[in-house]
Amino acid sequence: MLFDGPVLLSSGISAFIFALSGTKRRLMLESFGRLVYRRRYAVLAAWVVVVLIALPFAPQAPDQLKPGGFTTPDLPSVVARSVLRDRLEISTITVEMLFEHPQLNAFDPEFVSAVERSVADLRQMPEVLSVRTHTTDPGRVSASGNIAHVTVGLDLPLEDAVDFIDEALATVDPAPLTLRATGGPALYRDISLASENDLRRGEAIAFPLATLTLLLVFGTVIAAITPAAVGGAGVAIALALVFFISREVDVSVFALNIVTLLGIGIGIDYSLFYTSRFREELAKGKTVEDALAASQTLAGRAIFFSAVTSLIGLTSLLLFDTMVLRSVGMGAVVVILAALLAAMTLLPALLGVMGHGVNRLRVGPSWSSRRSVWGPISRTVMKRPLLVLLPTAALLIAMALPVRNLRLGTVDATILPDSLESRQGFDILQDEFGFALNTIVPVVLLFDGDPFTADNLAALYAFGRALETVEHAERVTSVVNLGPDWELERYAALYQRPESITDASVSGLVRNTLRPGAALFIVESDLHPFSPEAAGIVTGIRSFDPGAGREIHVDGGAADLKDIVDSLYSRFPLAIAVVLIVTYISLMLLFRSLLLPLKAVVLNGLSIFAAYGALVFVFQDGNFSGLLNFQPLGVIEATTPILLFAIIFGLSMDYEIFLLSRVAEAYRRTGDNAGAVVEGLEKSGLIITGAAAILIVVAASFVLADVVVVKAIGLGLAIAIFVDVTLVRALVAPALMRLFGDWNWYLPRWLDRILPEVRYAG
Amino acid sequence: MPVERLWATRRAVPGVAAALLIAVIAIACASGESLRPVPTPGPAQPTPAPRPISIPADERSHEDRLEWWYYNGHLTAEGGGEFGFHFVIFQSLDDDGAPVYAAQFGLTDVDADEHLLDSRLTAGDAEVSSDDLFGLRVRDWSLDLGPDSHSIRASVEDEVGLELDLALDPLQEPVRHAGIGWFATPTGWSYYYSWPDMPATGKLTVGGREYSVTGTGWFDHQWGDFFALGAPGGWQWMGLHLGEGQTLMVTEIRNLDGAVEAVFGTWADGPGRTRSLTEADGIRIEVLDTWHSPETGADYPSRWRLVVDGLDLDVEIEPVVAAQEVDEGVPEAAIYWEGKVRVDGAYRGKQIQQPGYVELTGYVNPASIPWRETP
Repeated sequence: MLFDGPVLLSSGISAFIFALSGTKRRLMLESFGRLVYRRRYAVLAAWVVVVLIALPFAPQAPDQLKPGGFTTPDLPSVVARSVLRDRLEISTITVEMLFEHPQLNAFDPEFVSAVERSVADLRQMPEVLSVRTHTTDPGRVSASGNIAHVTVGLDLPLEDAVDFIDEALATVDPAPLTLRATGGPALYRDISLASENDLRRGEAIAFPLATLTLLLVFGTVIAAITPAAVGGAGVAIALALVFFISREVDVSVFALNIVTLLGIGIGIDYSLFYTSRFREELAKGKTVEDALAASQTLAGRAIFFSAVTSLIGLTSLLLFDTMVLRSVGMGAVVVILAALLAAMTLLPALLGVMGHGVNRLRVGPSWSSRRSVWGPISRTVMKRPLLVLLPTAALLIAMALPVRNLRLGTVDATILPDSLESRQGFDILQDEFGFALNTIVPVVLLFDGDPFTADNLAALYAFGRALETVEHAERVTSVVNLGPDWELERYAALYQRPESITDASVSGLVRNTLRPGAALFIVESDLHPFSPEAAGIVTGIRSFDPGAGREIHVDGGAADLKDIVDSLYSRFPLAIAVVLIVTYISLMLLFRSLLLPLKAVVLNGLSIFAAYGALVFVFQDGNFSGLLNFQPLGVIEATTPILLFAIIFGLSMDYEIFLLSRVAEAYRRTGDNAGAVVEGLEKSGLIITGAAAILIVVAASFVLADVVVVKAIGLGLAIAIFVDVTLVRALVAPALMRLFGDWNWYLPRWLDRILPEVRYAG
Repeated sequence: MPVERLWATRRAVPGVAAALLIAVIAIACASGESLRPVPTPGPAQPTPAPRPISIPADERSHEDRLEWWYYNGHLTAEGGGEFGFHFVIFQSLDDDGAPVYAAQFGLTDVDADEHLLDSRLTAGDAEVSSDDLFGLRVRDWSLDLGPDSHSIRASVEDEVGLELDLALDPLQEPVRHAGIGWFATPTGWSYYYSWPDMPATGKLTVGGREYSVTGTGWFDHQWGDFFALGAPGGWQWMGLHLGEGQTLMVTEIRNLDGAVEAVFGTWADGPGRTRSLTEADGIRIEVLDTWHSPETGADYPSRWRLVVDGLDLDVEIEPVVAAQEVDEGVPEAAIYWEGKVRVDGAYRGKQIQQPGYVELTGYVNPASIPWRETP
């Protein structure tokens, strides 16, 4: 079902767009370029109006979006969470409050009354499901005796809990105690805040550097305005579209990441490619209108096909039922569409107004006087293709190799600076209470009736013992796991009248972990929750057959991660495969070739894999952690690969089509494969390296971030772009094309006949 | 730029390679995956075989679910004044082995006809020990067990100004109850030994006035993997002095139906002779009166006739103060009565009037479990 849907849809869109773009009709891009020039002021005015309309809505988009989006309601851990909530009144969304006093003991009356006073209002709030304090559970006091741990269970989803805790905690006066609040919602809030600060700081560093690079690459102050206009207008419109779409359907916050990062990237790509062609045409002595018409025909077409190819590929993501995949696809589609529209209309109108002024206020060598190093490099590659290909491919594969050890995980509070309250609280929980060091797996057994009937107690007992046998399960906590030498008869004696149990911890277990028809078991392990072995614990527990009429539900961080990864590994590879296949078909239509699209797809994959490998080497394994100033997580934050995939795919496609379009143009003119490759590289290399340099500067600025995830995405993106424009585009791609020779352009006659005619260089 | 949520999510996505690899493995494994039945539990690990109690090693704490160090005593102040006291520290290990300590201190002022009570609670590290000294600190209260002397320090936090600083000497051989000092219950097992007659000296401050006190103390040390069950289960425990260094411990245990399940005891004399008593020794406890607690609503026995045929003992036991309930520092289900009593009657053909202590558990109706209909 999932496989058929995206393929059919993408093929349909592909056929539609290519049908529009011309089997028998040539694209009327030249005329369109002239039309835009003649109506340039009207076009500019229209854009001003459109952007002004979009501006009020764009900033509202974040508030409409949903966090996460990796789960579906039928994921086992999501179901387990509902079971915990509905059957046992246990919430996994908690506020962990840590009350501390330098002198008072947690059981001093003054301390106790301060805690009780602090939580009194919380207890009355309808959003609060439970409040557990040290007065009913003495184990909630630190070894030092002066810190008490209070857990407030919330009957709210995570995103609502974030807003709730700020309001609820604002009313708490813990005096004379100090209070630190941590837990999921607080950490979520602080990670967001810290990331925001990081991004602001990154932007503060990136902005002047990017401006300088833009000026150097574009060569004049006036020309450097174009990427800001195309990127800015594209992002603003795309965000407004995201806002309206997210009012109708659930959209993940990841759509924002894609819109902003990909929007800036392709904005620079399109502007540079188009503007350089415009200036090239002006340098030939053409009028502004003729230069624009030529630019629209050649650069505009390359941009159009690059955008359309990326669109077709990433549209496939829309049909997946995992919200984050859909959202990444949606974000990419809207921003590419918006940027394409800006590049095809706003950009020529702007250049039409600028005219020859585009070359004014020069800050570097003139565009026409620049000489690309790609020419000499490509000539060397043409002479010794294998000598270049083999070591370069080996290097790329070596870079990608660490991917074999990729461990996906989620971040914890250690990514936060220790000046933040939630991080301080997390550290106290870890140091004083052993919190978060272990894998904790809540397991619910459902059955019929009172837990203390002979049959049910026997079933609970058997299940409790079975859990003890699960590999790596160090400890099981439940009403029937009180000791290794406890026989069923002893439990029967103990629970003959459970009300009469005087032991506070067992009484607490009875009251908190049992309900009619439901029992909670907590399985703990000393393993890290994100380790593969911890996932094995989840699998081991789920593999038990509880017997007729009973169900097992497993929740917890390890189960959550396992389920999400399981869910996505069944969809994400398929999503990638669909994107690549559809891209392959689109490029085949475009370049009338079997091999070139394959090369393009494989090389895009190599760039992405090399970036993944570098991430594992640096952020998972901790290499260069001193230099880059971070504490290794031991895992790659699991959102990073998918985010990078979409951005790198879009940018690599730009570079590939810019390059191939020039090569194809030359080949169709000369019929000389090697010469065409050299010419294509010479003409597109400067633009590709220029666009890449700007993006690398922007991405690399985020390496200075405090939050390691921000750092990782910045570095991953910078590495991927760098690898793509150096090793891949400059060396591997021309070497392969030289080796393929005329096979580059081979398409079986029967296939040529049946494929629609969308020849690029027609 | 709306960046505040840019990297905020903490959910997971797999990498391409890992995902592909896992997918292949999953497909390869998919056909072989099946549920396995919950195994029928094998025999649980056997209850550890009891071992002889070793002093002083066993004076220290053990890694068992429940343990307590308990004292009661009868003190006379220099210049007049009769007092009883009880001081106990409970150690309970929760499921992850972290200890929680609860301590209670009660003082019965016979002349003032009042019972003063306070408690302390702490979790985590409370032990301060050296090679030859075992110590516990429950906040400002302390207990130290050395080879030649035990000492306890406790105070009550109110306007009364009460403080006890007492040294007790374990001059006798410890009394091992139920034979070797170990017995089983339906919900577990316990080690149990006592020093029932320890000379005690120290300082007692009552109402801001400090007294030098002397008297006798009784020490119980009990630990094991067991639960004390509340009402209608529970026990009546009596620690009585019979004169001339002789002591008697009698316990009557009720099951959860409220019926007497077991009665046993230990007689001891100063030089270390002991005799375990069972039902066969004709132990009978007859409740002659009750006292209603206004605090908890519990009706406690408050006067008894104790007969032990095997000891030729027939005495009446009566609290010196009726209200000696311990309702602080314990869960509701574990509230108990611990009080100084007078023992008056016939023992081996002689009339005796001696002091004693009685402990009564399982008389407070436990709170219901909210999710469960009370059977």
